[in-house]
Amino acid sequence: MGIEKKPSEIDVPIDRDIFLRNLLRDLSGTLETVVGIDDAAGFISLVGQHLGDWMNEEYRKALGQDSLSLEQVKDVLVDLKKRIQGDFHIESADDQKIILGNKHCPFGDKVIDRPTLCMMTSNVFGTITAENLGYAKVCLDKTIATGSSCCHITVFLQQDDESDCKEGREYFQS
Amino acid sequence: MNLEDFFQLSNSLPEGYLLLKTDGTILVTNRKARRFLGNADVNHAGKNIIDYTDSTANELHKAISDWSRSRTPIPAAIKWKNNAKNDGMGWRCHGFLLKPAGGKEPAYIVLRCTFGKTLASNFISLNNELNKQRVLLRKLLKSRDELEREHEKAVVTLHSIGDGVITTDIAGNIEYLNPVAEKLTGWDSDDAAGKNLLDVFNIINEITREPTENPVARCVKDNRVVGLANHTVLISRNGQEYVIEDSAAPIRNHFNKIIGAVLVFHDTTDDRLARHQLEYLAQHDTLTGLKNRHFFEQQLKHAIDVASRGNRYYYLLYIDLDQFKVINDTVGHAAGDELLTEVSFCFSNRIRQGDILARLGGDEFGILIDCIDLGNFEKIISGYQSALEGFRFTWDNHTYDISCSIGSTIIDNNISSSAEAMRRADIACYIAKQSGRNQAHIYHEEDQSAVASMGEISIVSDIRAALAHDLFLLYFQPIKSLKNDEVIHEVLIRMQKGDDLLTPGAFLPIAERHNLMTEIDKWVLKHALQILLEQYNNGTPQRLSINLSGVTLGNEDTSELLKTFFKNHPELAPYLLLEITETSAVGQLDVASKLMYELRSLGIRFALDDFGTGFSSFTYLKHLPVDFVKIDGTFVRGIVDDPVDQAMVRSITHISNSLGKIIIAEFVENEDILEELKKIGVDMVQGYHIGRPSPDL
Repeated sequence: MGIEKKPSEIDVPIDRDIFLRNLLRDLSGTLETVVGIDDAAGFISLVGQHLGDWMNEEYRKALGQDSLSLEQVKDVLVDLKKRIQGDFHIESADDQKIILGNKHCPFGDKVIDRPTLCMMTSNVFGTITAENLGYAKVCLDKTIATGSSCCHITVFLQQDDESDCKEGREYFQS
Repeated sequence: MNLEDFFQLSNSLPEGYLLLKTDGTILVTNRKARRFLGNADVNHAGKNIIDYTDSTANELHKAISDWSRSRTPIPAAIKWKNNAKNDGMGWRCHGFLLKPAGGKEPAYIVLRCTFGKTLASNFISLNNELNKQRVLLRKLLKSRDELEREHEKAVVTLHSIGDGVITTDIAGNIEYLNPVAEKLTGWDSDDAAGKNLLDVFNIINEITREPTENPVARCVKDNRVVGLANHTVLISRNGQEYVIEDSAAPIRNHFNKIIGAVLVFHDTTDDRLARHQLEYLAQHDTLTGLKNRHFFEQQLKHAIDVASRGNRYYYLLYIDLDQFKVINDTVGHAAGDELLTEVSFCFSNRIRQGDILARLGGDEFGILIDCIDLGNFEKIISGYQSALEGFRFTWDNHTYDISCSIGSTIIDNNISSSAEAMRRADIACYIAKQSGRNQAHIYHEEDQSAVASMGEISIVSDIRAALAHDLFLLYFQPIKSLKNDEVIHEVLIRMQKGDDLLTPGAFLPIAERHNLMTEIDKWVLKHALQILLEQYNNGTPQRLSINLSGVTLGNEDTSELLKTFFKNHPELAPYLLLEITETSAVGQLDVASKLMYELRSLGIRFALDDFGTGFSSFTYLKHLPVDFVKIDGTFVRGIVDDPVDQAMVRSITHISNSLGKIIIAEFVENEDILEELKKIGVDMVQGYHIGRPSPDL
């Protein structure tokens, strides 16, 4: 029989970050189970939109700008994800659209099988982009949540034939 | 088509639609939406949706802001008035931006409302379900706690009880043994678990040594409690044997289905041994191993009952050794005992099947012979005489010729009692003895008058004279406590005959046969109570123990004498102890109990005398109101050398003590006996080593 250790002396995979990610995974899972994927996505969109407003406001204040430019919006989208342990990068960007890639979700493996959590990204990206550039349509081309190894996201900045042909969520400036 | 026309078209849709300006003003509604707003007949145009909610202006503004930036319908986080009830039914609303083409027009918001289960309803159901499960879980936990407590209690009980307990499943495979069962079987509960009962509980018949029936299999088969067969012996794992008793019962579940069995048993080895010993001693003479007087008299009574019906008859032989007294007095008791043993052996070899040979006491033997003709009977008598003719008793290099006198009588329908039969045989024996050694005599009616002037009849006359002229003397022998200073003196009697002083053995048996015992008892009581009173009045009170014979127990005069005396002198009651023999008390249990309870209520104590030689049943000891138990002296005398005697004294002491009785041992004749009695834990002692009988108190 080994020497009895105190709980504080042992290695247990529990910390604040894992706790919060588990909390979100469980909340979204419960929501998906109880009200269904669509309604759960609606609720999470609402939360995402509010988080987008908050982040947009913080970046504007920090950059001392009333409104962000396209360049700044691109940087903000990558930066905000980095700050929350995502690994997003700009694959391409022009006046029409911004294409982003991602190898690591901020929710880590807790996002797998929780597609409603992607509404967080869609709404944060859509809200920040639309609030600064007037319009956004966010298309989640590939997501880790649905089993892909990485995420591929297109943010259209204008309504045109190409954007109309793709499925996504549209956001407008308030 | 303007927007209003479009909305008129949407009247047929199952969902409600409201067109709002971004400040919440209602522009157009379809019919379903009007119902949602509370009045289907009014358009509600121009009103603000804040009038239909319980939300604050800020909350509403935030909601409109959310809707106005998304083309995808977003849930309305608004508290609608009169919406969802407890059943979860109500309106579900989603808002989204309707952006007219061209981008120059003002933005509108569409609110889509569906009646049915609200999103909250699922949460309510979920919550209700969770609550139900929580209550159920609490009940389950409570039941589990209670069950655990009950189980704990049951386990502790099983560990504590003195019986062995084994539980099995329905196939007889062992599940559990309690510590007593572990000890008796020699198996550890864990080792035994899973084994078949018969591998662990190895039982056989005590007599046949054949395996006995599996009690568990039987109780399961018969679906009832079954007792173990009599004479069951359990052989433990190490070969030790235990006599056991008890039962097996099926275990049933809630549906009354048998799921196993429980076997409960206890070790009765010591009890059985003690009972066997007591049963044996109740019927046998400890010295010779022959039947004793008590048993013989019972058989004699039975024979008299049979003979009284006239169809059958018996013969009674009364045998007295001619030289016994000489050998016993001159060579010693040990030689006397040996002589009796050897003579018994000679007689035993002669006894016919169905006849009964007993030692009646001292050197007297009795034989009860089943009906034969007179000629054969005489042959039998001469056979017993000739049995001793070739017998020589040798002791310390001396050889003695032994012969006997035999008196006999027929037991037919003229005999009314065993006392009468014994008296006749006694007289015949007396006549035989008067005729010289090695003689036999068969009783005739005229013998009664022939002996009147001799022997026994002469003693009877002496007894009557002693009663009339106070020729009895009281002697006192101390009974001392080994636990404290208490001393009780047993009152003994002597009879003056000329210059001789006769001891009780010389006249009390004759007094019994001639119905004089009650008179003698009354004489003793009267004089002993007078002494008790005098000693008390002199300030030197003594405790006295007085013997009452069996016939006196039922005598009204004696009873009245005692009651009257102690009602007048209640302070003396604690100083009196009455001794009655076990045989006489049990022989007339009702009478004895009645007298004992009556006198005990006055404070008089009782002792059961000669315990161990009569019925020897502890059951009587439990029910008779006695305070003292006097162990028969024959056991005490052999206590140092004879393990059986020692076991008897130990057993009687142990059981009597546990019943709260005080134990007296008589015949304490030397220091070795006294030491042994102290070790056993006897309370009081009496005998020559403690104090000889003396006329002085």
